[in-house]
Amino acid sequence: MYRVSQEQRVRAYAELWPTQPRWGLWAWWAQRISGLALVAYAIWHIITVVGAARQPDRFGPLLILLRHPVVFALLMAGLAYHAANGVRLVLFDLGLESMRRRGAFWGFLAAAVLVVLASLGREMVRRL
Amino acid sequence: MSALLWLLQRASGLVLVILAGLHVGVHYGLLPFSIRRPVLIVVDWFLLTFLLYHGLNGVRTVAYDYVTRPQAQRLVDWVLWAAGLALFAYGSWGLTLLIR
Amino acid sequence: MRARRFRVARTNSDGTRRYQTYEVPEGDRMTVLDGLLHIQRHLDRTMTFRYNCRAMMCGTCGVRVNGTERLACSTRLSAIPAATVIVEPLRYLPVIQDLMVDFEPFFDAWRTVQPGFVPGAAHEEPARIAPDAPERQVIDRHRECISCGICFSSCEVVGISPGFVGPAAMNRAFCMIHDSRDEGREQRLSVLDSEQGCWRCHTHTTCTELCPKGLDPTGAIEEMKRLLARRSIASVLGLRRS
Repeated sequence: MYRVSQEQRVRAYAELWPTQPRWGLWAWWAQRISGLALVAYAIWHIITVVGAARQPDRFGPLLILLRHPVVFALLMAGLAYHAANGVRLVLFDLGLESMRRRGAFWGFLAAAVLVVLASLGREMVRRL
Repeated sequence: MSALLWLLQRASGLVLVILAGLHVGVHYGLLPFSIRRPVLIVVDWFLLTFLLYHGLNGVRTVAYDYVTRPQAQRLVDWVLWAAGLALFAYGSWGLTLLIR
Repeated sequence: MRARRFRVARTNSDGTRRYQTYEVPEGDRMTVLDGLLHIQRHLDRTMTFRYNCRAMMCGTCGVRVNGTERLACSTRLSAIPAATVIVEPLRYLPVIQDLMVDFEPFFDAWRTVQPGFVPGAAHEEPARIAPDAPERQVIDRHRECISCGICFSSCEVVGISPGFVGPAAMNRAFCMIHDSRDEGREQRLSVLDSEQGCWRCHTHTTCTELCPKGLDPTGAIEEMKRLLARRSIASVLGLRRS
């Protein structure tokens, strides 16, 4: 009979980095990271917008940061991804087995990219 | 209880797709139609409510992956509830300031 | 016959890991298990690994091949595109030696869902479920678990969340709760309804993709989430005793 030491058990949990992540794992990581980033942004947004409504002159610069094009672009990307993957997940949770496949994932992602590009395109056309 | 939280996360997510879309669309002039101000404030309030639930419940889900002791989980719940109610109150009050 | 490079995880005497390289002559239709046997017989007698049936039936030879969980007996070398075949033990289970791991944590999780049949009130004997009965059909893609540990090892949540019961245990619970003769349903559902049960599953679907028997733990867990959600709604609406 062998004995597995506590040290061996602890060392087993060092295998934390998946050497071969699959698409489902990337999708989940991105969902989580975008979700947490959006929560942080949303909290900041609530605080700064209400602050600006109370004292427009003091909170002005912070609001301008919200409108910075790079910030906006990252935000839209994160939101579009999170929403698209989220809708796919809800459909899967409701029982649509096809939504669990990689194909469905890329399809929803492509749709989200198209929507974002279309709205950005409209914005840019207006500015021209 | 966990089942209802899971269910509400999905439901609020779907509603948020629409509310967030409207909010971003209006504030960046991307919508082909315009929304009257009172309606906008109501939409924003619903956005605030659903977003705080969905976002903070999401944080709870992430936290519960790593925090498994029941006492620590109660602490996480308490912190998130406190933050959520505080932000809800602050945000709702802020929206009332925009009613002119 | 050309040689295929194997890079195998080995265990030093102090318990740390090293990787050792071997050149294995690659024969026709050769599997990873064939390669390991060749190494043990001709190159390095200290190579340690488990196998048994060599026919994808017993679930003994689970390993990671180039990072992906596989049964060594059914992984053809010709199906591995990389030049080097990297063989490592399953994840999240203590390594005893080289590729041999301790399955106790896996079966600890297995036991929490009461995986055995719980006999109850008298049924008319023989208490038989017909092959075309709905309850038999619904567990069709979940029945033939060989407890190889591949789904457990590939599950990210098993790695990050202590106490998570894992895909294999929940797949097994799914089969048991559908047996109309079984009395352990409520007990199992209370385990599944906990924060260490269904709700920790984030539907990566890796377990289903890698199961060597083509089982569907993700589907089982999703179905149980729906079941638990319906029960919760019914409780809230007062339609059932909770």
